[in-house]
Amino acid sequence: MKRKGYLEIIRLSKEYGEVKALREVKLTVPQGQWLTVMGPSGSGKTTLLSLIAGLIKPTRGKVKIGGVDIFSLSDNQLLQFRREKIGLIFQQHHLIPYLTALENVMLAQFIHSLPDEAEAIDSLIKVGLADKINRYPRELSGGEQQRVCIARALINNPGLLLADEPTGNLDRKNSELVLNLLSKLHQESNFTIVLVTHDPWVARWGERIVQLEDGKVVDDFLVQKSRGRKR
Amino acid sequence: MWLRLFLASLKRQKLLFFLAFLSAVTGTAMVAGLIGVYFEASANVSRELRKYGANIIVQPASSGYLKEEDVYKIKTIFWRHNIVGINPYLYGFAEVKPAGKKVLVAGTWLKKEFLTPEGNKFVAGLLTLNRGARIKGKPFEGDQGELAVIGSSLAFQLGLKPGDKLVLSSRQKEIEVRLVGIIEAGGYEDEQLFLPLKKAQHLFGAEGKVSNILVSAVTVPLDEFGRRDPKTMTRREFEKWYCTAYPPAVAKQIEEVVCGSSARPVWQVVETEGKVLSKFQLVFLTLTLLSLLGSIVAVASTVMAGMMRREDEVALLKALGASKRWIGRLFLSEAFFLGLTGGLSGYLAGILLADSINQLVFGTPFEGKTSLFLLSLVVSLVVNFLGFLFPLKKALSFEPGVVLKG
Amino acid sequence: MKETITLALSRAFEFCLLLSFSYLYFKNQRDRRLFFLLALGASFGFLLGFLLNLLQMPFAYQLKAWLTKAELIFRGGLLILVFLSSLIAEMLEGRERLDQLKPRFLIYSLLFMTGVVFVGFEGFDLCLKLQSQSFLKMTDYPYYLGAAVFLGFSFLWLLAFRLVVIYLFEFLERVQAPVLTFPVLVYLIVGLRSFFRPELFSSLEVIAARLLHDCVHWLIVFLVFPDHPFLRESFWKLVALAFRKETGLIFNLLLVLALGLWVFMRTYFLPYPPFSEAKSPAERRKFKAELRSRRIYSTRFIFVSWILFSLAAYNSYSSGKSLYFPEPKLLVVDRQGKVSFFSGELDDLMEHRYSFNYRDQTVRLLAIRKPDGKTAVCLDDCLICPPDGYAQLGKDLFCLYCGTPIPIDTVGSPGGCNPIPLKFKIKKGKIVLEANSAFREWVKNNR
Ligand SMILES: Nc1ncnc2c1ncn2[C@@H]1O[C@H](COP(=O)(O)OP(=O)(O)OP(=O)(O)O)[C@@H](O)[C@H]1O
Ligand SMILES: [Mg+2]
Repeated sequence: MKRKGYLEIIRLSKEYGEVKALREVKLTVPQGQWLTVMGPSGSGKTTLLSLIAGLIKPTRGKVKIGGVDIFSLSDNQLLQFRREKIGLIFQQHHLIPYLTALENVMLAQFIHSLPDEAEAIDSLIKVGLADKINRYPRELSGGEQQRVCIARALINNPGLLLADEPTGNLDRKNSELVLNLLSKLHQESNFTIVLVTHDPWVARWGERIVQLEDGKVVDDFLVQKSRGRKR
Repeated sequence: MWLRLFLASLKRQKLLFFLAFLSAVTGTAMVAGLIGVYFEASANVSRELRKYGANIIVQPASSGYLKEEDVYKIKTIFWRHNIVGINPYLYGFAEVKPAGKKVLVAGTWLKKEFLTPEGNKFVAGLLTLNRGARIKGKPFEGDQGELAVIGSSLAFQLGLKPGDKLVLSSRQKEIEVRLVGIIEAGGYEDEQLFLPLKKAQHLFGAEGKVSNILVSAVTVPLDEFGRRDPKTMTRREFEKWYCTAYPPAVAKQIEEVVCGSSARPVWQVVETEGKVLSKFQLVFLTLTLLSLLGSIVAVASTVMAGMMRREDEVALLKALGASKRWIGRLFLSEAFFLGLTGGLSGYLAGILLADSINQLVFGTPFEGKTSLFLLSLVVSLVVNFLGFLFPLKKALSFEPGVVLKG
Repeated sequence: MKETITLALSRAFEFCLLLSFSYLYFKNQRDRRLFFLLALGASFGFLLGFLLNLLQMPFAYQLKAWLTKAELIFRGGLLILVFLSSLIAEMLEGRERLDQLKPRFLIYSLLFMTGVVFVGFEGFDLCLKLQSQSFLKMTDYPYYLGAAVFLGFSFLWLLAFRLVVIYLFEFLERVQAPVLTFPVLVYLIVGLRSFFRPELFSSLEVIAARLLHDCVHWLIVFLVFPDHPFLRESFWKLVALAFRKETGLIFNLLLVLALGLWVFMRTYFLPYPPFSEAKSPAERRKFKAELRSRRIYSTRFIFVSWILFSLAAYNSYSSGKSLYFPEPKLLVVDRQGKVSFFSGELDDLMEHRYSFNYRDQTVRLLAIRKPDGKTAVCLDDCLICPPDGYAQLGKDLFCLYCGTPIPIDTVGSPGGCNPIPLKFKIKKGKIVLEANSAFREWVKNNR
C-alpha cells in the first residue's frame, strides 16, 4: 500500500553538464517525519536539499510538498511558497553580520509578512538565548549562532525544515545541544525535517535514514526509537 | 524594521555610502549649477546683447550729415512705442591740449529727456541704450555745458581723471571743457572722448548736424514670414506683415522720417541674439548631460563594488524567500536616501557654483529658485536610482543556491 | 497649453481627493459609487460650457459665466462635503458608522446646506447681474433669489443624475475598484479646456485662504500678543513667509500633504480586527500584512493626487514666464449706458480683460495698471490687426495676431500697434466708461 506523503520526490534528476549529481531519486516523506539523508561527500545531498527548497531547478522530475508541485509554480509563487512553508538551516550560519540576533529573526518575519518583536524574542527564548538577543553574530559562539538560525527557520511556522549539515562546524557538545533543541521543537510542533549529514552520530536523532551514494538512494530504513533518542 | 535594516547597512558601509553620496552631490551640484546658470543666462545673454544693443543704425544715405532735429522724429513713427533707445553721434578728431594727442571726439547724449509729440517723457542717450556702460564720476545730462566724459582706456593712456581741465582744438575751434567722468562700456566707447552734442557741434562747426544715430527697438525676431517679399502677399498676409515689428520694417519707417538717411538693422546683433543663445544652449546641454552621465557612472561603480561584497547577503535574502521586488525596494530605499540627501547638499553646492559663475560672467548675483531646488532633488534622485539600477540588476541575478555551499 | 495642463492636473487632484475620501469613508460599494458620481458631476457645468464654446453659440459668454459660477458652487460644495463628512466620521470614530447614518440623506442635506452657504458669495453676484440686466426688478432679496436659482440648478442636476445613476450603477456593479482610476484619466481629458482663467487657486480657494488668514490674524492680534511692538514685526515676517509666492507654494503643498498624511495615518493605524481563523502567530502576521498592504493600496489616491496637485501648483506658479492671457470678464451695461469695474482689480499690475455686449456686438476691453501707477483702459484691439487680443509676457504685451511686443509703459498712448486707448473716469473706486463710445471705436476698427 502506497502512503501519500507530505514531501514527495518523484524521479528527480539533476545534472551539472556531464556531472550527474542526482539520478532518478524517488522518496516519500510523511507529515512530521524526521528524515536524515546520509552519504559520502559528493553524493548529491546538498543538491537534493537545494532542489527540495526550490533554490535550483531540476533537470528532470518533480518535487511535491503538501501536494503542490513546486516547480510548476511561477517564480513569485515559488518564493512565497518558500517563505511560508520551508525553513532553512545551513552549515555556514549565514546570519547577516550587521544585524543582532533579534534583528536576524525579525528579518525573516519581515520577509514573510511583518516583523513582530515580541514573537521574535519568544522564539529566541525558546532556543535558550534569552540573555543574548541583542548580540551581533560575531559575539555569539558557533552553537549559539546555529540556534539563532533554528529560531529564524522556525519563526514563520513552516511545514518543512531543511537542514544541511547543521552541526558540521560544531563540536560534539554543541552539536548535541542543537540537536536536542531541534528534536524538542520537532516534538512540539510536528513539522517535517529533512536533515543532511555524513555523521552517523547525528543521524541517530532522526526517525528514518536515507543513504545516498553517487546520486542514487541506496538504503532507506527507520531508526529504532530506543536507540535513537537517548544517545 | 525597514529603518533598522537600512541604518545597519548604512553603518556597515559608511565609506561606500559616503563615496556614492559624494559623487551624487557633485553630479547634482554640477547639473543644478549649470542649469541654474543656464536659465539665468538665457535671460542674461539676451539682456546683455540688448545692452550693447542698438539694433538699428541710421546713417546718411550719401556722404554728409543727418539733421539733429530729425532725431526726435524717430519717436513719431508707427512703431514709436517700440523704440526704447535713441542716441545720435557726431564724430570728429580733436587735439587734447595738455597731452598733445589727437583723439576721437564723439558729441552725443549720455542721458537726455525730451517730450514726444504726444506729450510723453522719453529718456534717450548712451546710458539708456548701453546699459552695460558704467560711469566713474558723473555723466553730463542734456546736450549743453562745458563738460566731458572720457573712455576708460583713453583716460588711462592720457593719465586723466575726473576734475581735470582739458583744452580741445579742432581745425575750426578751440574749447575748454572739464572732465567729469570716466566711462567704461567694454567697447570702442572706451577709446573716445564724449562731449555734449551741442558742444561738439560747436567744436567742429557742424551746428544742427549729426553723423549717425543708433536706435534700439523692441522687435520680433525675423522669421520665414518676415523675410518674404511683401509684394507676393495676400491682403491679409500683408496686413499682418505690416503690423509686425520686424527689424527691417522698423528701419524702413525710420528712414522715412529721418531725411536723407539710410537705416538698416544691425544684423550682427539681430542674428547673434538668436545664434548665441542656441549655441549657448547646446554647450550647456552637453555639459549637463555629461556631468549627469559621469555622476551616474560614479554612483553605479561605487555601489557595484559594495554589491559584490553583499552577494552572500542577497543570496540569503533570496533563500529566505524575499522576492525581487522586496530586494529592489531594500536597495532603492538606500538610493532614495542618498538621492534626497545628495539633492539637498547638491542644491546648496550648485547655488554656490552658479553664483560664482554668474558673478564671473555677468557680474550679477544668482537667485536661488524653488524650481532649481526641486530640480536638483529630482536630478539627484534620478542619478541615484539610475546608479543603483545596474548593481541592483546584478544583485537580483545572484543565485540563492550558494547559501547551501560550505 | 501650459494653463490647460495646470487646470487638468488640478482637476485630477480634486477628483483624486474626492475619490480617496470616498474610499476611506464609505465601505459600501453603492454609496461609494454614488459619491464618485457626484464628484464626476462637478465637471458637469463645465462640460456644457465647453460644448457651447465649441458650438460658438451667441449667448455663450453669458451662459459660460453662469456655468462657471454653477460649477464653482458645485465643486465648492463637494469639497466642503468631503471635509464635513470626514469630520463627522472622525467624530463617530470609524467609518462603518457613517454608513449607518444613511449617507445619501446626509449627502443631499449637506449639499443643500452648502448650496445655501455658497450662494452667499456666488448667488449674490449672480443676482446683481440678473438685476442689472433689468429683467428682474430691484429688490432687497438678491440673496434668497440666488439661493433659489442655485437650488433649481441642483434640483435639475439631481434629476439628470438619478437617470444616469440607474444605468451607470448597473455597469459599475461589474467594475473592479482599481478600474475607478480611469475617471482620473477622464478628468484629465475633460479638463482640457481653454476658456476659463487658468488659476489653480480659484476664487473658492482664495476665499478659503483669506478666511483662514484673517482668522489667524485676528486671533493672534487680539488674543496672543496685543500691541507687542517688537515681537510683532518679526513674527509677521515669519507668517508672511508662509504666504509669499515662492515659499507659499511649498507651504501650501505641505499643508495639503499633511492632510493626506493624516488620512493615511488614520487608515494605517486603524486597529486590526481579531484574526480568529488564524492559528499560528505567523498566519496572523500574514493576515495583518495583507490587510495593511490593502489599506496602503487604498490610500494611493492620496499620494497620486498630491503629486498631481504639486505638479499643477508648480505649473501654475511658475507660469510667470508664459503668456498670461486671462479670459475676459463679462461686464454689464447699466441704465446710464455705462460699464464699470472696480479699479482695485488692477492692483496686481497684470493685464485684465473685460467684455460687454452692446447692440449685438461683444466689445472687449483691456485694462492694466502700469508700473508707474497710471491706469490704462483700452480696447482689446489695435488699428491694424484683427482683434485677437493682447497677452502679457513680463513687461510687454503681445499682440496675439502679429506677435509684436508692446512695452507696457506705452500702453494707453495711441498709435502704432498699441491697443486703442479709451476715455474713462474713476468714481468711488470704480472705473467707469461710456459703453457707446467704446462700442463706436470697436465697430470702427472691425468693419
Ligand atoms: N554548481 C555546480 N556545478 C557543477 N557541479 C556541481 C555543482 N554543485 C555540485 N556539483 C557536483 O554535484 C555533485 C554533488 O554535489 P553535492 O554538493 O550535492 O554533494 P554533497 O553530497 O553535498 O557533498 P558534501 O558532503 O561534500 O557536501 C558533486 O560531484 C559536485 O561536484
Ligand atoms: Mg554538501
